[in-house]
Amino acid sequence: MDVGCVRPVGMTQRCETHRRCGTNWRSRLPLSATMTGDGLRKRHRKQLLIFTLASHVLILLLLFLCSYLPLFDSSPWAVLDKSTTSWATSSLLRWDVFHFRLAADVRMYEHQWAFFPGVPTFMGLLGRIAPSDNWATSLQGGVLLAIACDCTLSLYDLSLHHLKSTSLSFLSATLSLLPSSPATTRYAPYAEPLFAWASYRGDFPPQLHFTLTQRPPGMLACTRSQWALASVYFCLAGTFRSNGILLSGFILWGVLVEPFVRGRTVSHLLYKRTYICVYCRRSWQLHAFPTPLP
Amino acid sequence: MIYHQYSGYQAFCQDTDTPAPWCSNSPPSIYTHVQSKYWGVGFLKYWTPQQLPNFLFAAPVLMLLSYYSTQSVCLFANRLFYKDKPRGLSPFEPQSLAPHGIHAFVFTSILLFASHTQIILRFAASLPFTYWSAARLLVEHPRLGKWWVGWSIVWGAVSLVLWSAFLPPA
Repeated sequence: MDVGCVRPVGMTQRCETHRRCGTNWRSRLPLSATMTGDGLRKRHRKQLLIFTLASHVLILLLLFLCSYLPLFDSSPWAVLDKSTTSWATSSLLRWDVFHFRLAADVRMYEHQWAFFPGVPTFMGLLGRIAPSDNWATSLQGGVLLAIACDCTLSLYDLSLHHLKSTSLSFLSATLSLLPSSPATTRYAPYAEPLFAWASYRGDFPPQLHFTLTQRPPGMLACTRSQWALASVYFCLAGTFRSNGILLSGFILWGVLVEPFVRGRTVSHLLYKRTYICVYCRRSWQLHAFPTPLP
Repeated sequence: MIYHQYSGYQAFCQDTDTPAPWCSNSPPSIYTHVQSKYWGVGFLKYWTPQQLPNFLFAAPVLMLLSYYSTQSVCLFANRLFYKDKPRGLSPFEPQSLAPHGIHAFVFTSILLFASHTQIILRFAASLPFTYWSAARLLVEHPRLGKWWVGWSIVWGAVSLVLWSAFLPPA
């Protein structure tokens, strides 16, 4: 991949003149990085959307060609009707997808508890749409859900926040279109795409912050705290995979560790937030229950 | 997550005449039990000669994540304990990336020592740190970065063929 030349957004002039800047990454960034602002981000998003669609088409094309290969394990045909099921549907039924789909009906055996309830629940709900052929329906519905949860643009936004560079964010998001397991992360109804989506959304406080600041102040700022919403996303991620519990570290980091590292005391921060909430609640009470006139 | 554990406990420990042996564990976690019993998950349990191909499959992702996450953890520790001033040179080293680096380090360590290591191929997609590391490799070490891109394309295609034929790695 050819990368060209310019400093990322937000770098200072002091750093610009530093000798290591010139020899390290600065000379290898794309020329498009000079076009900062919304226009460039919009163009990147459009390009990423096209790349994402192209990657899905390529994956489908390759799977279509591979559908002529003999199966090492023919168990998909034990539950699917060979005469009516397309190659696209039958190629979804591999490995954990069996367990997810079986757990969607009923959990009878101990080993079924190794699979968290997120994906089985979705597949079970989708299977009820067409009870006569619920295996095929839940598989196809699962794929649509997995595709809808594509994380490429979320990764781009997240990268913009952390890397402060449009070109590096674009590069990272483009590289995510070459995953190490395209079948499970971009095609099959696995837990991975849903887990990744919930994780990415949960760790994206800037967007939530912008949303909050654009809305009128008041109770909204109290009830829709960014950490609370992040917790919801992380809880959702926890219904797909056990390692969702590790995501709680991001909240602990933001609430406890980061203020400490930056030299702000936690008690001061908590005091500030508590004051805002108490103030908001009082304002709301005065608004909702005005004092009756004497 | 807690409800999942509770439903297992209810099914095998409460609503039955003969509770399962794991019901007396502390905590009585069905998930831990089935992972250990049916999937052989445990510290270094996967480190056998038979599993060497799976370690090789996962090696590129493992190496990328191990290297950059360790670097990120060390950088953060230096800033915290030795009060090193942020150098402000690389856009891949901001303070805000520290939790991602620590998360990736813990995650990679668990998968390397106490899991079916090849599943990192699937899980890596849920770590944005994977792609920041890949971008960093491409920017700072273009030759290695090109190897990463080449491997991603070739392995991605091969894994699709394996998936389609119902062949491992799962």
